[in-house]
Amino acid sequence: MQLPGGLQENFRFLVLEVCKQVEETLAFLQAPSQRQMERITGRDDYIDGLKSLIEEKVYSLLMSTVMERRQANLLRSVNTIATNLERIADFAVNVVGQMQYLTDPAFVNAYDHPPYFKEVKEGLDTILEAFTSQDISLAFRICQSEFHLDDLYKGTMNRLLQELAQGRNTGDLVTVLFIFRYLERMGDSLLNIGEAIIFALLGERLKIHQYQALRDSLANSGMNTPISEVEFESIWGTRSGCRIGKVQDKAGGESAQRVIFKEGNANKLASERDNIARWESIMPGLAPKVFGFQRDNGSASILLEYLEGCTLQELILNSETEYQENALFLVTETLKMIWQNTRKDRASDGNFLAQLLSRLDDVYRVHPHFKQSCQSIGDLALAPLEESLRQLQEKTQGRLLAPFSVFIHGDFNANNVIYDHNQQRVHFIDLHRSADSDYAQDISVFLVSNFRMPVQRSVLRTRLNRVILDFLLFAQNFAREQGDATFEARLCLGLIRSFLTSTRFELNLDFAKEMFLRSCYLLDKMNNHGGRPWEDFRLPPHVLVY
Amino acid sequence: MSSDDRFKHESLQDQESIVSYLQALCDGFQSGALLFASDNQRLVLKPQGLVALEVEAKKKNNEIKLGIKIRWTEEPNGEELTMKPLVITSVDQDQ
Repeated sequence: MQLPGGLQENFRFLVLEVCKQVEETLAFLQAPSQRQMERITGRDDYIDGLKSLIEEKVYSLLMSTVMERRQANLLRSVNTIATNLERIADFAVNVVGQMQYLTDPAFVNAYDHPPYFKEVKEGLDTILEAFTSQDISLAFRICQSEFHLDDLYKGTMNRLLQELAQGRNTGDLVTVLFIFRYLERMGDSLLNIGEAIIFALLGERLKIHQYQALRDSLANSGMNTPISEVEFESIWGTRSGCRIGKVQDKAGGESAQRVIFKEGNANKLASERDNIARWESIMPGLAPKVFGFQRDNGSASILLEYLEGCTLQELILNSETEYQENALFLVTETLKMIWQNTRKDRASDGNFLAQLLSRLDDVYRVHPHFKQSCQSIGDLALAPLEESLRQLQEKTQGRLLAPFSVFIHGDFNANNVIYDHNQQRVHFIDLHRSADSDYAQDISVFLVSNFRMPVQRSVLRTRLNRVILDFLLFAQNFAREQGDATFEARLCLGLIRSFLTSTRFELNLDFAKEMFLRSCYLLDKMNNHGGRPWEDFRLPPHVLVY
Repeated sequence: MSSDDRFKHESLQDQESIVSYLQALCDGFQSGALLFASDNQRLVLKPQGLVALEVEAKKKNNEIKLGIKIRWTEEPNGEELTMKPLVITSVDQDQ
């Protein structure tokens, strides 16, 4: 791919000059001379100038021209590469500068530096080809220079530490350490360069380990698509510590296979994989299929089936009542079937208040004004939030359990349900928290996820209120059918939790306060229930209406 | 009472639970002192003299607002304004 506006030439020169700079630095180390030193510092100015020129051209092109995203990405990556090339040249000058501190310049030659230079040179020599031929495996090779240099540095460092411990030539040893440190840092810049080329190719800022994970996952998934043939699109960015993106064949079209790629915390993704297997046995097709799973130290990656349709949240916000009612009907029928089929007669605890207390600090970090003091009006004592929560925890712990468990979603937000209108079915996604537990958990999360949609009082809000109340009614009926008499009290605990923890993501202060006050209201309601049995507790439905 | 003594409370109540709040205020007026406490700050209000009461009820579509505002002035040292005899003295113009 060619660069516009003479950039290609500037870029080529920059790469060549930095290569020369590195070569001459090696020569200087082996036989230092004043002339060579001057040449190296002189070239550094030239390299700085080239880099500034490229930067200027890139910015003016980006600002003055309307271009395709792909072209813009290419320009951005040229700029990143130029910045890192200039940094490598700076490190070369730093290496040369350190030599004056050695009592004897030949001291450095006792340490095996040529492999470092060889590695850096190989990386640099690959840049032009990787970039112009858009070859991702070459870009990958550039990235690997960093890992090879790190290995070399580890060896040198160990030797230097041992020698330093002997206490001789300490000044020279520290200087040599600096020299090798600069050589090692050239690897960091090469890594950035390789990643920038990958960015230009995939249009996505993937870290090299994420790229490796994606490549391996694709290879193991049986999708016969090499990585250079796929397009990566970050659809949700980073969520709950996972990198999520949509990958599809560049050819596009009807037959293009699309998958979801997630990279992140290994335990979380492993739970998701295991839970999907469980969902598959409960209701085939409800969860996405797993095409591949890779584990690499603390992180892992997973390739999932891309499910057609839209999320329930999108549907509620953008479509007509008829579709919503249809979708809600499918959701409730699906839930009913799952709950009936997975019901186990074993008491289960939703642990709502413990969860809430553990997240309270996060809430206060976003909304410090929620922190209440101890108040009273005359004889009427108004307990602060924490105290009220602890009081309720005492009253309910071990005493307010679900009489049975069902397999729950675990994060049943309206945007974790996909509605496929054509197939007339729903799917569940984001399943790493699924478990056998109290279904009041999923219901409270679902209700509040609808409540907190960014919709002011309007026709749409009235519709949202309808969805909420209909869903509540469905849940109440299910509880009644199952003889679950304490459901409303447990749901109230779940709502106290969800209303309050949702404020963490709500930066509209008025709306955050609205949810906070609703949580406090329910909390007082439960605390004032007196010693009466929880079976008698009724959830005031108006708390869910906005 | 310093000029910035303040107590503020906000909550959601329902028809049933709001009664205890209104009752607490009524009790205060009846006993002659309203106590508002917040952590280690106490605000005691002693209604005296004339107490201005403003009741405003508003209904705009579905939004209902009932405002109750009670105002009075507190004399320095807590003394109530009492009638003092009016004394008129003549002043010598030359002094």
